[in-house]
Amino acid sequence: MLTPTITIPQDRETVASRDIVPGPMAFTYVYARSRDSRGANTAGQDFIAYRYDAHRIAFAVCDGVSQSFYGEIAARFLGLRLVDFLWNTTAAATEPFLASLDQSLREWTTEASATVTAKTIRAELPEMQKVALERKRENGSESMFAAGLIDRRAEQIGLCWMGDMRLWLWDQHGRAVDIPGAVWETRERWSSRLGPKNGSPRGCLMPIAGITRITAHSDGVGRYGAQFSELSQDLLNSMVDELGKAAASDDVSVFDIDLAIHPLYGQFTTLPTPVLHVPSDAEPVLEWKPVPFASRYRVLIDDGISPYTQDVESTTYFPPHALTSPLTCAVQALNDYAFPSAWSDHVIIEAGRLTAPAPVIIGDEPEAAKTQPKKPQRQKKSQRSRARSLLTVLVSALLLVVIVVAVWIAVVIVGWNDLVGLAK
Amino acid sequence: MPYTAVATSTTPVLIIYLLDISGSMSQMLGDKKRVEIVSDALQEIALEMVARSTKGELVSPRYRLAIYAYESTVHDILGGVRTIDQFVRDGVPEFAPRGGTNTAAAFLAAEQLLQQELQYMEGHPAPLICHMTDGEYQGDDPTPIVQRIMGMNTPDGNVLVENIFISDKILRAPVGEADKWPGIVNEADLANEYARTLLRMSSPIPESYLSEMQEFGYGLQAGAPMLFPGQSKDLIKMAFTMSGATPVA
Repeated sequence: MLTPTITIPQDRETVASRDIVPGPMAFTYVYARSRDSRGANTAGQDFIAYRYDAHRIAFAVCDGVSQSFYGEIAARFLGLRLVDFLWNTTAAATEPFLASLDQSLREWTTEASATVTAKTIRAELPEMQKVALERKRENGSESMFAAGLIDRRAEQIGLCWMGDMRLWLWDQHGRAVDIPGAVWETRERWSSRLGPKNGSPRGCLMPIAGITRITAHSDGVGRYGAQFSELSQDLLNSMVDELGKAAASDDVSVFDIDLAIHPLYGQFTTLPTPVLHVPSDAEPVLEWKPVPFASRYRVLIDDGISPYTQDVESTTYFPPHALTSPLTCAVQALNDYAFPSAWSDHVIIEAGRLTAPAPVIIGDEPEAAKTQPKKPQRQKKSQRSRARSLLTVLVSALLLVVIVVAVWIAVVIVGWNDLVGLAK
Repeated sequence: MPYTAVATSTTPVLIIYLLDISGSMSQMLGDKKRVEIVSDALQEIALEMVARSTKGELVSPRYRLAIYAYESTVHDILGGVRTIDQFVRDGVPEFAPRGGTNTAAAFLAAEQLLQQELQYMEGHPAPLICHMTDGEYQGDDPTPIVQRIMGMNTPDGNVLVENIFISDKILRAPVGEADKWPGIVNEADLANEYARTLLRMSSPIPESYLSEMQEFGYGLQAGAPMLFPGQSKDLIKMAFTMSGATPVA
């Protein structure tokens, strides 16, 4: 069963989008960096990740702490781990659920600390900034989070959080439903060094009955959070525009799950599955034929360390990685009004070489790619370049000979002393 | 509520340092010259400001700094106001102690700068002047100028004035651990008349600054003035920390 974790990119804006998935359920989300981050084109420090099948959805919205060391590192790391944790949790009561989460939050610090240690600070930064960043590194990277698992078969919702992000539960009339133990403390967060910081993870398991929507968002939405009882893509986009003008513009991320979505006409249809192929073995570009009615495509790139997805409107995709490890890639067709297609068969890109599609589940160890012969195009280019160099050397030598002969003739005809006199 | 505006890249806080570099600043305090300790403390708070302004690798211009070093005359060290992202490239300047202590001239320079700047401070945190000295003023009494400055206001509140007096004569009893010191809670704690003059020239610590100082691990009490005895490196460090304790986004 192909159930990859969907991630929203941190390095760009994602306008309000909607996925309708079997269940049926609808996920509506938006992601926008702060004005400063957009201006400098640096990564946002919020992060959204989710995973779903026809019965369950696990999600995490994280808000990296800007005062910590590269808060986006903690946000991404934690978001991916939380989705995995929630997807695999078997807890049936709040207490063991939170105890298990607390333990995991502590265990993840080893790997997270290694990530923080490995982060390179650019040498060209001013010395004072490097010192300030190294001091931050000592305290680690930190993030707040709001996450959950909805299990429709078990008729249960599990929620967890630390910090001042918000989770909302809504009933069919758009009224907020109380969340047991709901306290949103700014001081509470997860630290790559300490695990839970300034408190323990909060959360609950509760019955799903009466809940039709769940919303999670970062504190960047400000006062708009309370208005999410009725949420639309237009509302989210205008909210992002408005917040982007504020003096204290912060990263904005919203993730909403509608459990009571109904098709307006007939049944939801499922989009056909795209066929992924690689047009040339000379470069790692992914290509697929347009899928009827698809408005966008979701590309999955799994490097085995930090998988990510990215939505594109075109039917080609250039993986931006400098290829240091094999990439397992797949694509899915989407629009706002139909179920997404199944994921395509995957291709593996291995350091400039490509393997053909094979029916392997993503997440499995990729097969060792066969060594490809050297690229003839590159050889031709190299031969052409060598011929050009040889020609340059020959022309230079010829010119030198002409100059020497001309000087010799001048000396013979005019005489050396006269020539020197002329020069003076 | 006053002093709640947060420093952002579009609403930065203006901090004006008035640093006494008179000849007496070359005297030793412990194992270092006073002026060196001040440079170190300035370096520390500059690093803290950089850290508080840095998101990832991006240094947002949340702080705007002016540094006037004064002795008999006033020197504009940064050549005007610099944002923290500009300041970070040049680092903390070095100071060479010499001459007298013309405190009034320094505050006059600050007042003139504020007169130019205040009109643009809608939505910004109130500016702060951090004055550090190790002796009584020479020449004109700075008190009237400082009172004029403390009367200047912005929508976030009146201009804040902090004083750091590097001397062991300011308090009747020495301060133990800096992080547990509650601040000057009683005027009777002050040991001399100049200390009382400085008290009148110091703003009360706003609630929002107290919260930030608690985050830094200091136990200052509500109602304490922005007047600090620079009796030790730790107290001087705490005093400079206060100068950068404007809430940030």
